Amino acid sequence: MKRIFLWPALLVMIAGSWIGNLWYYDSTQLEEPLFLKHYITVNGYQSDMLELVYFENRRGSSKVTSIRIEELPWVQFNLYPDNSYAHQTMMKASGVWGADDIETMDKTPITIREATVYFSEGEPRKVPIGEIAVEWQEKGEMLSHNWGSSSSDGTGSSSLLLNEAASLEKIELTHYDKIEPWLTVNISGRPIGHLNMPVRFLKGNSLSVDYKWSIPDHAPAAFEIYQVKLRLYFKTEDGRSVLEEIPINHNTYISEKQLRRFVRSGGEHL
Amino acid sequence: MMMSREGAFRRLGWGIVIVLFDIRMVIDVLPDFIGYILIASALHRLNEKQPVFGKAKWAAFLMIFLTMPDMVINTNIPLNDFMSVSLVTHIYAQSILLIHLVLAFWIFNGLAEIAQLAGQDPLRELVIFRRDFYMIVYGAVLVFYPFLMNINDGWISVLILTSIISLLAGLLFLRLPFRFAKASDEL
Repeated sequence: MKRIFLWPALLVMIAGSWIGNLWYYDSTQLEEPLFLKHYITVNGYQSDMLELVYFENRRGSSKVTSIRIEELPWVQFNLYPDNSYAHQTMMKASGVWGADDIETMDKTPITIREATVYFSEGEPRKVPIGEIAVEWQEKGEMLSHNWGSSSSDGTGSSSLLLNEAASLEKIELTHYDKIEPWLTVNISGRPIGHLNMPVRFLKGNSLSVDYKWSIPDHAPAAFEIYQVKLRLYFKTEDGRSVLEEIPINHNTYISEKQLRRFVRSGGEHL
Repeated sequence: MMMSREGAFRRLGWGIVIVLFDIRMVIDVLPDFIGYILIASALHRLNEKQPVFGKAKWAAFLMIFLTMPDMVINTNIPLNDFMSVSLVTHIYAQSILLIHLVLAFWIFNGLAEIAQLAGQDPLRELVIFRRDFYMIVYGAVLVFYPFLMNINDGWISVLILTSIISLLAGLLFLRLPFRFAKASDEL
């Protein structure tokens, strides 16, 4: 290349690089922090934590400073970064309640759909967070947990032991309408929809639960948080009704590429 | 007393050393403008006998004034947090680097011409090789620098490697004036 073109060519490349990168950077910025939709069932007696996931820009825009849930005003949220992306940070807000709070809490089931979010700039705003069901179920004594496992590929299993003879009368999944396309659950090797109820179990029988989440990367559900419960309704030989719940959580992992697509679509589901 | 040519080459070398290395304790204790003062005065002296550093000398004088704010403004951008620094600071730092690159180009060319006039072809070729290496490395740094705002932390090893190559190009540049100082009787 002739020397005369060297500097103009370099200047054009530098200017092009700045313009292109600034344009791209701008297109990857969220207008404001973005809360994912959560489909979670929390048993107030067994859990003492509620976790919300949201994304905010790493730099230069309004940040979440605190979160409040009107239905659970005593829950204080602790905000912390969970994963870092090129332009955003995945943040988690974990709200904890103590044993003292449980005593004073109203034990009626509630469904939380909104959180009041306070920002570093601007007014607080109510944002949709999906459906978080807070229920109050005393833990049954019917099942003992042998072992359990879950994997990042979306599979998981539990092995349980019956402490007394009982019939399994009914099975339910919380948030079923949301998870039905993405979750298959087997009990002792058979899909739950194919079980002929009631199923009788003797004392000491084992019961296995295995599940598989299969949410495609490009599906809107890939940006949703699922922590549901498998509800097993038993009837004992002496006629008592016992409800046992088994947590079935989805390990949400969002890749850089998925997040980029999500943000560029304006944070709307694809 | 007038500075010898050998002394002028050495002064040029020390000027480049000061520009190349930043020792920052709240403020830059080896501010770049001191380096450019040394470079400008050395080029002024060398230009008296062989007028090959005319443009470089004026570019060095310009850099003295342009780099004065650099003593208090930290233009070292954290590799993993590009956007923590204002856009104005980025543009300032990059403009300084661009003008420095032009200055370095003219210094290389002046040195190559001195070697050529003295009939030292191997030395001239060495200067041209180091000039081209320096231009490619720092030209690439200037062009790819804005990508820092759009890459994730996984690229940090590439950035560290780039810093090492840039340092190598800088060291090869600053060695030249000292080499010319040693051989000044033959040049």
